[in-house]
Amino acid sequence: MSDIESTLTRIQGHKGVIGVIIVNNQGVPLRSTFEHDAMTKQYADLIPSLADLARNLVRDLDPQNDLEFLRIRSHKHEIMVAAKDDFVLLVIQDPSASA
Amino acid sequence: MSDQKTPPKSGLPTKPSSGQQGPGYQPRQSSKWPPGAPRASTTAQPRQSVSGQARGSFRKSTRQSNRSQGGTETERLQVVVDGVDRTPKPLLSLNPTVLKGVQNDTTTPNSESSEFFMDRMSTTAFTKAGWYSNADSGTHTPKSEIDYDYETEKNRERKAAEEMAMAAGYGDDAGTGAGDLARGPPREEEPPPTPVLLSERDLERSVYLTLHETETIFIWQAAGVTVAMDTEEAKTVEEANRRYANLLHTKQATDKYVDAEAQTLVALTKSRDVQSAVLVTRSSAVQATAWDISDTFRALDEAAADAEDDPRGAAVSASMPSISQMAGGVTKYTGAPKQGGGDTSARVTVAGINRSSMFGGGGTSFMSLAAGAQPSGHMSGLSANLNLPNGVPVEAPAAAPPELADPLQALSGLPEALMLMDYAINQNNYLQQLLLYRDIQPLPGIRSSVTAAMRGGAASSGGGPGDDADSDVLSHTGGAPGRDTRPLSAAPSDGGRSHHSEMGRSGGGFQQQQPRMSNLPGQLSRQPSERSIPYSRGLSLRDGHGGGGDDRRSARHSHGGGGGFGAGGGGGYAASVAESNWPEELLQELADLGDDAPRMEHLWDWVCPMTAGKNVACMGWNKANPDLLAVGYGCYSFPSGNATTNNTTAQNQQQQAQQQAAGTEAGSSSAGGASGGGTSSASSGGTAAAAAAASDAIKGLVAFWSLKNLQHPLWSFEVKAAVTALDFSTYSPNVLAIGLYDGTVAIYDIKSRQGTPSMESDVHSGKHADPVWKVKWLDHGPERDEPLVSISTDGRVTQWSIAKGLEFSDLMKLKRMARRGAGGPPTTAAAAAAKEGGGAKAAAAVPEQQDAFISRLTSGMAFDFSSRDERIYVAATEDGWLHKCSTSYSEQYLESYRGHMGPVYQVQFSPFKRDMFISASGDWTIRMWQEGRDTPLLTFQASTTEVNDVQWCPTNSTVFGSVTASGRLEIWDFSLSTVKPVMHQKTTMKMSCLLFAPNYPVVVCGGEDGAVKAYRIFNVSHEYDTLQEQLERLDDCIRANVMKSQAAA
Repeated sequence: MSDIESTLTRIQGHKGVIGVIIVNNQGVPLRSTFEHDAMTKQYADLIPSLADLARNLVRDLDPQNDLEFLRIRSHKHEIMVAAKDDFVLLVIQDPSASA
Repeated sequence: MSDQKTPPKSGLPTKPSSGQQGPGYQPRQSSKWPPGAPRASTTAQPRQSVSGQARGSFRKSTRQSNRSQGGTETERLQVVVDGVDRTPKPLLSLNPTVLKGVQNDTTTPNSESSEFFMDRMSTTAFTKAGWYSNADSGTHTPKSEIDYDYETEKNRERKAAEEMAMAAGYGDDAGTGAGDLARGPPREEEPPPTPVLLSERDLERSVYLTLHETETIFIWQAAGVTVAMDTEEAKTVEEANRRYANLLHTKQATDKYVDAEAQTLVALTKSRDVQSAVLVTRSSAVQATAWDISDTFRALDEAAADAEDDPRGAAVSASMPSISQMAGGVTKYTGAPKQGGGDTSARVTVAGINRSSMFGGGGTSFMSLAAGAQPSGHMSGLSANLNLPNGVPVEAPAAAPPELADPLQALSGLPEALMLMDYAINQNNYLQQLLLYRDIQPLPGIRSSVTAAMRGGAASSGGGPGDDADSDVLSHTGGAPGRDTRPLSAAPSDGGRSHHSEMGRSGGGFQQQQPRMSNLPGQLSRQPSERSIPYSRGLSLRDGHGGGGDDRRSARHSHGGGGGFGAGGGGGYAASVAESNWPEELLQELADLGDDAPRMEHLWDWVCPMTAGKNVACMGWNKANPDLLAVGYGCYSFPSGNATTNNTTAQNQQQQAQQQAAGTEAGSSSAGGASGGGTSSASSGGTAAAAAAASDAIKGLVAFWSLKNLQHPLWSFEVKAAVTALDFSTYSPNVLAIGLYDGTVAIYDIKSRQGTPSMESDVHSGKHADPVWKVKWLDHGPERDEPLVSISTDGRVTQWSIAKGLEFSDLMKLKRMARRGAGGPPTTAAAAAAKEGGGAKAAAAVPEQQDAFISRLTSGMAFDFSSRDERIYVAATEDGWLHKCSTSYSEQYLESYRGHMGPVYQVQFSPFKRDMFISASGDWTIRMWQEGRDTPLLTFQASTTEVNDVQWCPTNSTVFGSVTASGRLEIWDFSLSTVKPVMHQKTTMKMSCLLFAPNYPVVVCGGEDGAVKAYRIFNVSHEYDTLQEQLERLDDCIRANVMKSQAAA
């Protein structure tokens, strides 16, 4: 198993992790651990645009800077987004959940 | 002579002559050459036309007579322009003689009707050649006559002009008369050679000549620029003039006006016609942000750099290398032109795969991917894709089509992103523990949530109330109403416990549990332990979650308020201590201490599947980044079936310890070198084989753990043999030295992240023959180089220099101390004791070795350099001796310390009192020594198992920690007790090493299950004490304890 797969498995095994989605830069979800495509699609539609916004902000402030990570803490979840040029990796975690 | 054919300008003279022509010709003439020749004045013409009428009629009569006379003359026409004969040549070549005749004819003055020449030619020349011949021969006009004819003709023309002028001026009669006069003679003289073609009627016909004024032709026209003063326009013109004058005036008045002469070159202009394509222009707009520009320029720079690297590579680079680069995460930005091809092709495959995996059902789920049968094809496709860039032949099952390549491999930067994500989730999950580790006291609001969350983690399976607490981690706002009201109602009844309400608001579950516990006191000690099985300390763990004393106070209050559980301050501790079976007297001491009692709390295990089951052999903090812990793994214990035949050194040591312990018991505490010597020689025989077996069988592993990710090492690499020692360099924090079970000392540069050593000792370069038990970089200050010192079972203490390769020099060869240390009655007594002891077969088997050692060297197990004098170090040996040595003398020991009866596994100088050191031994004891005293100051023994490691606490001069083979982690504070450790942690595994964190009150320990456990220790550090205070405390304790022990003795 490759490093990527093992890391993905590890991430998914963490406490409280609800789902892992990898969306490519065309908005197509490459991976999703959600059972329902609708949920995947919703996240894949919404989060990358927010990440783009955040990246624009960071880069506008300093062109040599770049967005590394984005966390969205909501009442229920925490959405963690690692946005790169080629893809957006997002993990939805329930931080108060037990292992 | 006919001028009629000439251009109009020369036709003027013929005009009058036309009047002399036969009336039959006139109409044609007029139609053919319209009047209005340039020189003909328009004013004169009308008059002429008027007069012409009369003249024509007049001339008719004369012509009539004329014709009648010369009607037969040859009407030959000649065109002369500027004195050159321009007569059109006939299209047919005629007989020269005929021509001659014709020529002769033309000489006749009768040329008026020359426009009919061609007609006549056709009749004469073609039909009447014979006639011409006749004429030639018969009626030939003499030459002179021709000349004369010319002259007369000219005269006649002149006369005609005059006539015309006269006609204009004086009237027709005079003109005609003159013309008639002039014409008269030749006509009459001429013979009429040709027959008359015109009939009389023609001649009778009247001739009308109409002259018209031509249209005005403007060749050039220039309108006048002057405007009359009385026109409307004049005003504007005047106004413009005035303005212009004004302008001129002001211009002259300005400073810039210079009235100077200037010579200017006439710009030579040349106009040429050039044909060119139509210039196409197109305008487009683009919006670029600052970072767009930044990226673009960086991409350009990179492209330029790439082009410099390989000039043709940019074009040639196929998609394959590019993909592999991206898979390796090398290229972060694919915007560079070079990457274009590979990038797109990768995208294509990504898109293609994505469809299959997305709609393939199970393929989208990781778990099913790992376990399911259908995705196994996907998995193998995965590995196939992994291998592709390396060109490794793929053993893909036929079920896995090649297009099932993993799209994730093509995403550049994915591994990094995943790593980051892993960190983030870890930070989330271990936030409380990390805060504890960092010794951060959470703010009240956060603290309560922290405790609630931790409680949720610990007691989540408790159901009902516990789960409620879980969901209420951070929310003071959105909690269940029932829980919100409870603390509010409880607070007034609690009276002075104002802080209790804050605790209770978020810790509702805890609050709810408390009454239940208090109602059932008997369950109290059991219930928490059931819930938190990983934590062996149950309730004490709960109490400790908050960290500082403040929190615990509030926790205690809630205990009290919950229903009178416990007996005041130390109640919680009493429960926890009771559970852990601590000795009664210590329990009492701790109870007396109350809040300040030292305690310990498990934070986490650094363990992952890769390391699980491997023995943690050694650990080392990075000197520059104290959050980075390097852990060396290597299993050097073998299954018990092999242990009897294939001894490892470790087991030898254990056996030694047992033997020595037996010997000690039997021989009444005089161990002596004999038994030690005997067993060690036996073990040295076994180690070589054991080392070989170990290097073949089990590889070592070095993993780098950090606080960023507690569940996966930052990096790890395998080594050829079990790792037995490691140390980070101080001044080159990326340099790691490791010692291996096979005796190798290797230097790794961990920054390069290569699993191969930068330097490695081999048999030619001083490799140890036996396991290396400790390596340590010596800190001699930043100016001097940093040598590495290693100690091994082969008895050598070796210093390594990495300045030029890995060079070694032996600091010391550890010699046996049997003769010098105890050559006499004790030895024989020990031997006798060994013989008496039934288990000590080894010693009994070789009694002669007391006098003649097979090996003169003893085995080194540990060493430590003094901070007081960098040349002084203490070496611990397997035969129980501690030797104080100097790097300056490689032959003899400065001092030897005797007391341990088993192999000494660790020795360390005190960080506060520089001449004091502590040692841990396989004889179950920990001993404290002072330089200059060859007997131990203090001896600690808490259990009946070997002590594998001992470490001073860096923040408290009277605290040290130890781990035992039975799996106990003990923290001693000999200011409190020298009999029992102030706290301990019991695990099931054999512990092998221990470290205090350099910056935080945390201790980490590792053992044979491959987990590195981190514990937060409370109330042991006096980090804010000055060195003087620490020393005073230490001295006081030692003095008191030594006096006590002496008194006891």
